[in-house]
Amino acid sequence: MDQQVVRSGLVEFLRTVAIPGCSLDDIDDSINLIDAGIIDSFALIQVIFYLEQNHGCDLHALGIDPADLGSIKGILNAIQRAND
Amino acid sequence: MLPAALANLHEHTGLITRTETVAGRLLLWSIASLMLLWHEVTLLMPVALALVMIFPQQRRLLLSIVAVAVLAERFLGVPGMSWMYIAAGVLAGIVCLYVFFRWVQQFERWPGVARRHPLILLHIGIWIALILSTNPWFGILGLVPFMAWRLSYMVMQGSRGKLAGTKFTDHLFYMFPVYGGTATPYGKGMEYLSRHEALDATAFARSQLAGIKLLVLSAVWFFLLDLMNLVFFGASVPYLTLWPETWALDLPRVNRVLADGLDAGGIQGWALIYLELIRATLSLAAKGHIIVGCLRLLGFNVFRNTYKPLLAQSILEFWNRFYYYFKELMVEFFFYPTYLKLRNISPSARMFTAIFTAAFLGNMYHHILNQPDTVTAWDPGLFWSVWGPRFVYCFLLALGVGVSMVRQQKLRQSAVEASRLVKLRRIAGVWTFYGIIQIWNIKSTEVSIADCTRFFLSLFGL
Repeated sequence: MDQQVVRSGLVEFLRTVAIPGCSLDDIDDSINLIDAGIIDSFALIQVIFYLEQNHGCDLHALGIDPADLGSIKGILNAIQRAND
Repeated sequence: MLPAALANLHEHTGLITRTETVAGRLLLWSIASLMLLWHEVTLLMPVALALVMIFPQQRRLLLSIVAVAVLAERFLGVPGMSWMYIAAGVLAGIVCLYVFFRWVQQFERWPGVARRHPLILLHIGIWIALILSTNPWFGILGLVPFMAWRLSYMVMQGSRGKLAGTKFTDHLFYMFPVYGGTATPYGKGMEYLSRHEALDATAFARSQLAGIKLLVLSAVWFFLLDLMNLVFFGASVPYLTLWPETWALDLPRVNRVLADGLDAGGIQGWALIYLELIRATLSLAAKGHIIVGCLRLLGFNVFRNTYKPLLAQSILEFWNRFYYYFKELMVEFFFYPTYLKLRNISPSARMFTAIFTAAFLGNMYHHILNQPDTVTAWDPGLFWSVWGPRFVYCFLLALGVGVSMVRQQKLRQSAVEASRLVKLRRIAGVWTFYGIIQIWNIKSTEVSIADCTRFFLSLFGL
């Protein structure tokens, strides 16, 4: 799947779990979304669920730590690893 | 709540620039030190602050050196300890920790079963140490409950392969933190702290101003707490002697109602549980702001421990805001591992199981770990008298958080902005839930589950 399509799908999803009032426009891919106060650690569970349902990621099997899913770049890396 | 100028202290560009000058730094250190002394923080903290402000690039090394003094200070509190024993204890503590650090650094060489379950292995070791600590020869192991989760963060980092390039001094400073703390590690471990570390003068100044803000806020919360104790509970507050005694309501605290079996049902009972919730929140916020304030002064601009929980509109949000570093501990060590392993059950069952593992099992385990004598005494009667009510509290908390999490997901999907009235109703619901479950969160061996349940029923006139 095209990387740009995956990224825009992910950003669209993140908008639904972001803390109300927080913007994801022009966000740097390497910014930690939890540290920046854009999502909370419970929203990360929904990120995990999204990865499992939409990209077939088994984080446990891949040995990916939830802490690595804090940024858009980290989530995209997880999707990449699942596809590999 | 705070005046805007103080609330935005750390965002004021002019102030940040001035704080970066020599005179500005001197003034900031003086103000911070006075506030730290007023808050009765260890004298080592102003010393550490001065050192870090002079040599910010050596922050972790300097804080590690101070950590050795913090450890010695802990031994000084033990009656009858001679200087020789203190020196030997400090040396033994540091050497053991160094050996442990080197061992975790070589994580990939651990046996397969240990690599698969490193935290279980660590906690088995911790309990062996706790049993040994009852012997006076191994008294130093009494420090283990305080260090248990700090060591867990180190092992977790090691298991992720992120410990390889780090030095011992990158870890020693949060094991015996000069910024204070409890068995719950404020600022977590090195991985989190380094993400929030100020790497340039501007970020450092901003972090320090944010720290000053928290110290001021802490003083305000302590004052409100004293005022509340005076007005509602008739406590004596030395600096508020002008308050007429007849204006004090002299209400009993919930723990006294439970322990003495006082009659406090109906409206008074409801007032007591809400007051107890406000009191607990103010107390935790005031204490947590000092610790996080110190961390920020030292250049680690981490999240607050308590952030407006009384304005939370859901049980889940309150749990997230009330005691952030404890919640993070539960989520990272209990929730995520359970959730990730359970892929073959329904999403709701998976969520509930993970929540119960964190908010019920993890929560109980954390508290029992902090009072290991209730286990090492091998007395089931004592164990149950201490922990019985808390089992009920943790069960109700887990149930509430689980239901709230499922509800929150549905609310997020609907994305409809709630009216002010609906928001107020939600806040009232959250206060009521936490007010009620606090009844079983009483730290007293004199109070049984039946006492707590009787008081709960009396709220409804039963």
